[in-house]
Amino acid sequence: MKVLVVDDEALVRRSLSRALRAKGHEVIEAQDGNEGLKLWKEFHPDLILLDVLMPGLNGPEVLKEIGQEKSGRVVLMSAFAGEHNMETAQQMGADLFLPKPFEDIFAVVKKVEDLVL
Amino acid sequence: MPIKLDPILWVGSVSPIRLPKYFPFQKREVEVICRASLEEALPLLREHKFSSILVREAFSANQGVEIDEGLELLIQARLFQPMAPRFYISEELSSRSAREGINKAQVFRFIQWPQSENELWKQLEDGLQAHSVLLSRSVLLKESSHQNKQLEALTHSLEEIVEERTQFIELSHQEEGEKLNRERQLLRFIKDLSVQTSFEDILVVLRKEIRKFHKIGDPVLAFRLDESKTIFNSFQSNGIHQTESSIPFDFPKAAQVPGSDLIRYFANHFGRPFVKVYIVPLELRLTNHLLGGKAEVILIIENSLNDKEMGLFADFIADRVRPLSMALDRVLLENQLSAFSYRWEKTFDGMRDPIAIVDIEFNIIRSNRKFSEKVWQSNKCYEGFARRTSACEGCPASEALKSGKLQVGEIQLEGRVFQVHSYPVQYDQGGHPTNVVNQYVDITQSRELYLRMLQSEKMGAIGMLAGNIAHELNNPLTGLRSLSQVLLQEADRGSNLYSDLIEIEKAAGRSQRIIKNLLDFSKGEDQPSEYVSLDEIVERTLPMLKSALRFHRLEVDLQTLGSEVFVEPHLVQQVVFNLVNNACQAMKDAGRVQIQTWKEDSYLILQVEDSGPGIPDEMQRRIFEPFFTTKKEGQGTGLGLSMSKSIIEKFGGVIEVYNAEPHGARFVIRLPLIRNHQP
Repeated sequence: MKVLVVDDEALVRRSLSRALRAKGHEVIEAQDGNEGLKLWKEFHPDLILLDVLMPGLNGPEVLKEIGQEKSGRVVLMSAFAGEHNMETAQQMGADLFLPKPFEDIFAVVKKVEDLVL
Repeated sequence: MPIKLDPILWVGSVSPIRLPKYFPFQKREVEVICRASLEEALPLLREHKFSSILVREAFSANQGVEIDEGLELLIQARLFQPMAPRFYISEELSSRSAREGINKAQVFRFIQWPQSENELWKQLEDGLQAHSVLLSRSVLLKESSHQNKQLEALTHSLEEIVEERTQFIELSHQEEGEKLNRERQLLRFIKDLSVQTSFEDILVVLRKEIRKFHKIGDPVLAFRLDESKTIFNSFQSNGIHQTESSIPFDFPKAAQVPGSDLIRYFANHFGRPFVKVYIVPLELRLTNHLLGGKAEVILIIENSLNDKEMGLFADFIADRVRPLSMALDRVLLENQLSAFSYRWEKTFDGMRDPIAIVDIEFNIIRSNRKFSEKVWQSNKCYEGFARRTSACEGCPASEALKSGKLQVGEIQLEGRVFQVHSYPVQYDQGGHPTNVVNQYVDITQSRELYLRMLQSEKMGAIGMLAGNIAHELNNPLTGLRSLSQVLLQEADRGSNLYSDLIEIEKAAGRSQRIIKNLLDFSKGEDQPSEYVSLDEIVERTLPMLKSALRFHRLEVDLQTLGSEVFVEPHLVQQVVFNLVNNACQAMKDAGRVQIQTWKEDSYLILQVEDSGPGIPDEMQRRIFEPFFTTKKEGQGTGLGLSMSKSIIEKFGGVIEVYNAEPHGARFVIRLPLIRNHQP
């Protein structure tokens, strides 16, 4: 499947890409909200891993911007404890909420794979 | 000078002798007046006085009866001039003439006519002599009787004077007596009044006093402290009653029998007829001085006195107005003063804060109840109130005395913080203040609240900071750890790279946990309690104590895994943090901190022991008090242990301190065991 990873932290993008690719998925990376929005529109990924706090457009803003054009499953990720949870993420149009830090990257990959399949 | 004698009267013929014009008698010349006929002589007898009257017989016949006209004249002469000796001169004295001469005319001498002249003069001289004697006697008599009369008059008037004086003296004696009596009565009345302490008593004394006047009713005393209310003290069947009226009326300003309006007012107030009253206003000088001149009192006396009795009664009362006024004034003043004083005392006592008036040497002059409650038989405020042997640290009393102005300071007593307001009191005008009023405001709670708020704000700020840092760190850590995990999949197991990656992955994971702990630790107070392992709480806290523990050895022995308490973990973390942090700070040299947990009946025990100097016994009692601190200003709030205590107690636990052997402090926390996962 085609996966878009939107995160301003290079290591997060890189680790997710490596792990997803290792499972045979196609991964595109965006380093901020604007780029993510642009790639989302032209690339139509099956899965979007979207960070909440980013320079430029943040995660929820990207979600809002895409609005009705939304395609694929969206996973909202946040390292800022307490502000978001599954409920608020779903209200914003996301399908899953993943709090950071990740304990185990492969568990995360398994979780998001389950979401699409 | 011999008395001039009256002339001699000769009546009748003189011949044959010759009468001289003057007859010598006792060196005086006595005029001789001669009248020939009786008719001529008679008028003389009526008009003049004579020293001697000599008459010659002169018979005449009237219708055959012989009448001696000379004798008749002598009878007349006796009538007119009884004092003049009468001589009857006859040639032949008949016995009838002699008898009648003696009886009717009281003839002094009968002289035989004619006779020798000498004999005649001798007779005349005798007569004159007799007359003279008679005369002088009569003069003497007259004189003496006059004197007598005068004496009598004098005596009489003297008697009158004496009588008058006596009466006067008697009268004034009586008056004096009465006056004295009145004074005595008045004095007794004043004495009686002076020992009375209430209106009622005074009224009783007054009633007794005026009872001696009949037709007098029981007196009524009406008074008011201001215009709003009049209070009547009156005798009823079973004693004196007080009744009130708020209907305004003017108190008369002078003693009087008042008009019908006032009488109607009384009748309405007492619900019975009033016929005649007498009203006496009394002056309340001192009370008015105190109250500002609004107090009035009048005496209302019912009576049926007539005008005359009323006058007496008015005088009687007038004498008693002053002492009555003074007695009432005194009673009212005493009542007012004691009411004032009572009110002040009550206010003073009712105040929540301890208050004491102390002098320059901290001797307690007066204090309110709140203060006295804490004090036993001590003169000095710091002894009784603070249980100290010297003035309290921070007490502003001395400064207030020195400056004469209000000073505020803070003192600490038995774990409570008092803000002391010292108000200097100046009793003498212009003098230096010698006393201060110390008001002790317990600000422990507000102080604690304030510091807790500070603490909470501090924790909040840390929380926010931690949140931001967590986000900033969590992202790269997530990447770091995740990438290590990905790389570990690719690396050959057993290679150096693999074990290196393992270490990186672990470090990243540890960092994540520390950040999470920090986040938890700095959460606000309003977090829900949860079931949590005490051991876990300790483990989560330890990473944050690394820097505090860097010089000391840490020994951890946790034995309660699987047992849970029901607490807010971050608060208990704060307790652990405090205890370990304190332990580290207490040890100047490198030492040992021992953390142990174990299970004991239905409690989990957490013990933190250090090898520091320990806590002196007298301080152990106080270390859980808020603000008790041995740290320097700025290093500690003095709240750490008190907050720890309240946190532990909040979750149903107990915290205690002991001395460790051979030295050191041991804090023991007991928390109820709520859930057990292990058999």
